[in-house]
Amino acid sequence: MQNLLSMKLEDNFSIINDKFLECPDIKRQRILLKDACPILIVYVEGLTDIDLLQRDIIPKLLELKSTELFDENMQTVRLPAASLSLSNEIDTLITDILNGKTVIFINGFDIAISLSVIKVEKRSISEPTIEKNVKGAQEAFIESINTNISILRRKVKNDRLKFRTLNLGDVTNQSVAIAYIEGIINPEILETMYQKVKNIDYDALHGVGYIEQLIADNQITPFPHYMSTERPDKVVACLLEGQLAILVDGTPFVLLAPVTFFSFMHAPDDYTGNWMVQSLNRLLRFFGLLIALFLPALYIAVVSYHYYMIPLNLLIPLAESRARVPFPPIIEVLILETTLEMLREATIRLPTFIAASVGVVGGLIIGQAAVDAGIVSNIIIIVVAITAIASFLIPNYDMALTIRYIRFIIMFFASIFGIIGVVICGVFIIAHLVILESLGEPYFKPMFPFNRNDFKDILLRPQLKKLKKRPSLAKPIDKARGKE
Amino acid sequence: MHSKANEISPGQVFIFVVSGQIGFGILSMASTLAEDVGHDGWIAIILAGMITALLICLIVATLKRFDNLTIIEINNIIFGKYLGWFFNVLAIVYLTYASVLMLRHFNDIIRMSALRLTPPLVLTSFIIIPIVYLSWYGLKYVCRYSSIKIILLVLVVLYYMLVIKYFRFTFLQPIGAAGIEKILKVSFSPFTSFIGYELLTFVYPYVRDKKKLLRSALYANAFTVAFYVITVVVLTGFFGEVMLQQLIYPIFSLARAYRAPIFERLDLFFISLWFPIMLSTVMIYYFCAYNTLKRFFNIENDKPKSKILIWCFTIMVILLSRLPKDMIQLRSLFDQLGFVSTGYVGYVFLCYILSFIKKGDKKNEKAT
Repeated sequence: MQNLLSMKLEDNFSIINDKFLECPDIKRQRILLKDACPILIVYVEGLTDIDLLQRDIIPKLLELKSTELFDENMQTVRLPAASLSLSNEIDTLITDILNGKTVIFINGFDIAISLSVIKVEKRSISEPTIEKNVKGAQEAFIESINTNISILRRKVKNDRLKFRTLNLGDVTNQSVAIAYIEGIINPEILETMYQKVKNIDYDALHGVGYIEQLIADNQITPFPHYMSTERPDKVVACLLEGQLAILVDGTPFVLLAPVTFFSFMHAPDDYTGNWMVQSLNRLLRFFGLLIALFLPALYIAVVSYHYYMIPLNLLIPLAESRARVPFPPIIEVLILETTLEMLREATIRLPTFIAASVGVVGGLIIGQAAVDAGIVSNIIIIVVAITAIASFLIPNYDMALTIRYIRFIIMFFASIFGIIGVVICGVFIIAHLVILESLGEPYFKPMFPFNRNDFKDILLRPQLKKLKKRPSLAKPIDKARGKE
Repeated sequence: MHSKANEISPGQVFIFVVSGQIGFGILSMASTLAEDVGHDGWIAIILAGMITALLICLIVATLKRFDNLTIIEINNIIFGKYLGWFFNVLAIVYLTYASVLMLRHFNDIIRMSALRLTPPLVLTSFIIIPIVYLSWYGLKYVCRYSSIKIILLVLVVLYYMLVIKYFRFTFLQPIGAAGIEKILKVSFSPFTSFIGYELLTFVYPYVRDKKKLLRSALYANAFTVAFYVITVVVLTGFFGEVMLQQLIYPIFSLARAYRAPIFERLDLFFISLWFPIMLSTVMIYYFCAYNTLKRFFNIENDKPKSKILIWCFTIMVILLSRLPKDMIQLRSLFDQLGFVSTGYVGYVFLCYILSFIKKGDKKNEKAT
């Protein structure tokens, strides 16, 4: 039986040595107990709290005889440890070692002790970097899944907050947890998601995006199916609406499901402020969405085909400015839009101090010089700048990228079919949105199909007192907020 | 039996019927009515709406006698294998004919209002993309998309408000000047504008809650009547019957009549509102034709074969839509469409009567 421990320490030692050949970070230390019984301590350097091991565990071990180590039933151990487990299976023990536990093999026993004296180097909880807000909590998830779970537990002090854990990545062995609130979440949705995540067969998950792509229902779409966030308050809010959250070890992002298109347009700040002001904010955001999608395309359509729509007073300066430009409008817009997108992509990866100067060079100098050189017209600078600003209003990074990508397609068709191209593209986008589904729920839900209760919290943000009913998107079992 | 992608709720039946009805007929309805009954067109519409409501009741009553069947299967039951096959082909030809005509009409309106020089084949191939895309996915998605139509129709009515200050009530007076006899006679003619409800015969088994179906369909008809009455009253009050008679598409002329403060021509935006509206009407007919073909060949759950079918059907529709030579011919074909669909409703009525004769047979079938 290879899988079970042997009574002889030497046999166990050779198995461990074979397994961890050329693994210098895994320490194998032999020491003697009080009755000269040899024991073997195995741990990963860098994942273990060596101070604690040296100071508390080893001295205690040296005082004990091998017979005193366990009680009669071999159930408990006389060691000063907060968390330990016993096992006689080699595979379990090896997993424990790799997870950072310290495993002790004792001569004459076919059972080993794994102690949890883990100390991992991790960064501390910091402010959110890509989802900033004004009045909400100023903390973000970090890479360690245990810390992330503890953040959630701190925010929801309720035994109904559950985590269903599993291991994914056949090489990396990452732990994944599906968080949900019992009594609110629909068990069907939970089970569907659990099965989907369980069936993922991939060597490693470098981010939640991997999960999102591997379990997406519809692969041919630019839209994100599930929402990733780094904000714990957003996760808690979504859990309370019956959604579930997937935490993956090694990434500071959490995946929320199911979501709708409109979830990507909402920010946690919407709910912390006054309802009238925040309603206007939301309207502004949707207006921004329309501008970001359609403004350059409308410019192209109007200038190329329907110039009679432009007010006369504006037409003359536009014509003057356009007269110097040798390119058709689509090329003109593409030159500037592509430059701007390149600029955006460049500044993401550049160090911050260079990024600022790139912004100045790109935005101010190239824009003005391009007009002077007669490559683009004046008005297009305004159009492109407004579009860029509007696209930054979209709170979610993934969705903002999608909208930018779609904008180019609409521009292309606007240059061929004018306003019809814009209209048909708009129709096609809606057609595409209505066929999408997120975890079996309609992606464009409160709009088409229409739901009155959900819809009031879409374009506007009603008073909190009027939001006593949870949205029906995730079909929560407990439909009302509050105890009544 | 059928996949969930086709299942629709009673609320979606409302949208389905409205989408089938409002689309093309309304564009020129006011001027045809003005030619016949002067300024009393709206009375004729209300009467026609009532007749339509009766016909909807009749259709639903027929379908109720055969639960969970479309007209395709009903034909086979009533007329037997060979005659039923013949009538099925006729039904498919009717649906294809309607969708081809509407697609062509849509294409012509775009060419007339916005893109004069674009090659028609290119334009048709472009505008058919969303239609085919949604039809491929199923009735549920077609109806979801068509909900946008309700919002757009409300916007259209709001646009009427912009020109309300030019509205002259005297254009509508005296009420009933054309004479009851004439109005009654004419009230059978705007039928063409009400067609769309007959498509219920093709989607009946997909409706989830069949008890509420009749109510939704009647509400939808009432909605259509209300929209038509508002439109015709506004147009008559704005242009007057004499002017109205000379306009081809008075709705678009109304849009051109409005002068926005800064923008020179706001009408293109208004006309753009109509594109998604017309698109969804074409989509409903196209879907019915495609889905009926699928049922006809019995390949509803066969994806590869459906793919071949939708490609062939789409290419056929695009090519057929080039057949009418010009707008005049198209117009007369459109008028014939009204008769054909009325004939179709009459045929459903025939099925209703025959269903009583065949009832014994049906029971026997069920028993075995």
